[in-house]
Amino acid sequence: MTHATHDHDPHGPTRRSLLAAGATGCAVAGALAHGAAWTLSLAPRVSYEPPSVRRLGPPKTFPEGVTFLSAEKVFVVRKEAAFRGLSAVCTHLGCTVDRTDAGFRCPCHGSEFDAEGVRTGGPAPRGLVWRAMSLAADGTLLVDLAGEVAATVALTVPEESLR
Amino acid sequence: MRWLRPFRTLRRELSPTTPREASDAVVRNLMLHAFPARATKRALAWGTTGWLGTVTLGFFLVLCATGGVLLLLYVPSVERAYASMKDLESVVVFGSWLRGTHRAAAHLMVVAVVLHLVRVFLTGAYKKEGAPGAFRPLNWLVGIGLLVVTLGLSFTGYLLPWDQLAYWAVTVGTRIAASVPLVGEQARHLLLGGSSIGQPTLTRFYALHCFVLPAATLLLTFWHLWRVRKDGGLAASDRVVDDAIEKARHAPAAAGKSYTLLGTTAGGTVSTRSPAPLLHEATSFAVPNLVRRAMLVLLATLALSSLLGLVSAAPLEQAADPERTPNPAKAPWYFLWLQELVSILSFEVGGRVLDGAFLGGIVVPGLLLGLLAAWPWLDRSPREAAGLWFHPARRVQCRVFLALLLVVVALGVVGTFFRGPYWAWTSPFAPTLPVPTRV
Repeated sequence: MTHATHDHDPHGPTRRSLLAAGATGCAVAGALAHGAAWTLSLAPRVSYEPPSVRRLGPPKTFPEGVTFLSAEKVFVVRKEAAFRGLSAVCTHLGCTVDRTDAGFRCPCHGSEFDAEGVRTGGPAPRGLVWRAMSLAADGTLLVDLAGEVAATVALTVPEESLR
Repeated sequence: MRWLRPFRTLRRELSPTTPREASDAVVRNLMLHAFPARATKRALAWGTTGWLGTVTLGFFLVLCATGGVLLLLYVPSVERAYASMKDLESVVVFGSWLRGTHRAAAHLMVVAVVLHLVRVFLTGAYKKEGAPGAFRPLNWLVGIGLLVVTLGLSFTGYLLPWDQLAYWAVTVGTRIAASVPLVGEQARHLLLGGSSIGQPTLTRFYALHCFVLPAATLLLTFWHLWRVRKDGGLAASDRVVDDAIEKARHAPAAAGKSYTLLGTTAGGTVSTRSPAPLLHEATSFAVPNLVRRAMLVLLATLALSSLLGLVSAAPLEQAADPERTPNPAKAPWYFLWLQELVSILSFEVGGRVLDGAFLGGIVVPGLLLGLLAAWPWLDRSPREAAGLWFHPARRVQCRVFLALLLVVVALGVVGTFFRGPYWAWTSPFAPTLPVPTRV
């Protein structure tokens, strides 16, 4: 069998080289498309996680001082009618801090915080995070576990919700 | 007995009686095809390499075999994973032994792969210079890849029981990933399959542990072994070949033939100075000498992990409890040096705190791996330094390597024995750990 003869510019692409380049291009494009599709498919578009705003109960059930809510990983700090929420998630690597006499302390790597959540020692890069609190229409205390507010921001609940 | 014929063939292949049968065996048998026809006696000696690569492979095979059975007994669901572990420990016949063997082999594989790396380093077996066409640094890189994959298998493995160790290890591990600037949060999201630990997380780590990482280990292992053959066998064998060539050069020329014009012009007479007879003396047939030793080593790894699995049961902590962090929450021993690093590498600079999670969890291990990977190109010792333990030309770099290794081990020892509740200093000789009460 003889090879295909060149009846055109011998330096230009032959049928074989053109087909080879086309096939290689298809293979690369296919690999990239599949790779991108697989990677994107792994980023969920629907979350089945609970919403970040959690219902904590009527304000009057919280005693004066600090109450730890383990499911929400939040400390509710009440001073008379003023409520604040301090996240119990360590800002270092996410373990739940314990409340101690001096403030808070992390069991995983030993980060230390004072009673206002300010970092006093250990590897944590910053202090504990304060969460925004609000009241639902039915008077239930809410905490938003997603956002962050200043330590001075407190929710003052009306007198009647404490009775 | 016709059906016995394949077994008779296999037996004959494994115990050849003539040189012809010995060299035929490596061609006839698929598994034996991985071996060369002949191996140097030095390569076969126990002290040359400690057979640590084969030992690592042995533990991996034990892990595949026991893991295959565990795969059928384990339920990868956050509701049922822990209960299936409890079943394995108390209900399944020999379940506790299976799990114990799997765990023992896993820990021993981490030990073996590190010792193998140490051996290759201290004998300079990664060096660029070797036989013509050899390029050992590539295989050194493949080996580092295998080390990383082995640690990944260990990490994903201890997550699957979904006990307290598992839950808080995922918490800490994925937060370390998140500490990387710019892409960290996305990486954490991808690992968790969401913004918090849940079923997608377990599914992902399950797939990594049972399919992705074992497949990667197998492929890298094949490449690793193939590269050993491509690089002309062990670096220690290069020295045997060098010796033979050197001796042949000084030996009186044997009367023989030269088939080339160069042979007659260079030597002046028609004679040869071939290292072939010396090499023949320094080597022996791979079948059965190499194969028999390899099989013995594999058998020993199976025996060791099986016995260890019998005497030390794999621990299982309390069921995963997102509401309560254990105090102290310690990683397995081979990651404790990292836990120590992320704990101590936070620095205050001008009112801001540099995050120890990023420095200790990403930067320092990354630098160490990068240094290991680049070492063959930093090593300027002569080619004669390859394949020998602590060659004088490599004395300094061997000391640097051992010093770095010692630092890692020391950090691990501190993390294991000298850290108590709240990761505070404690003594292993303290009568009881003082666990503070929670307010």
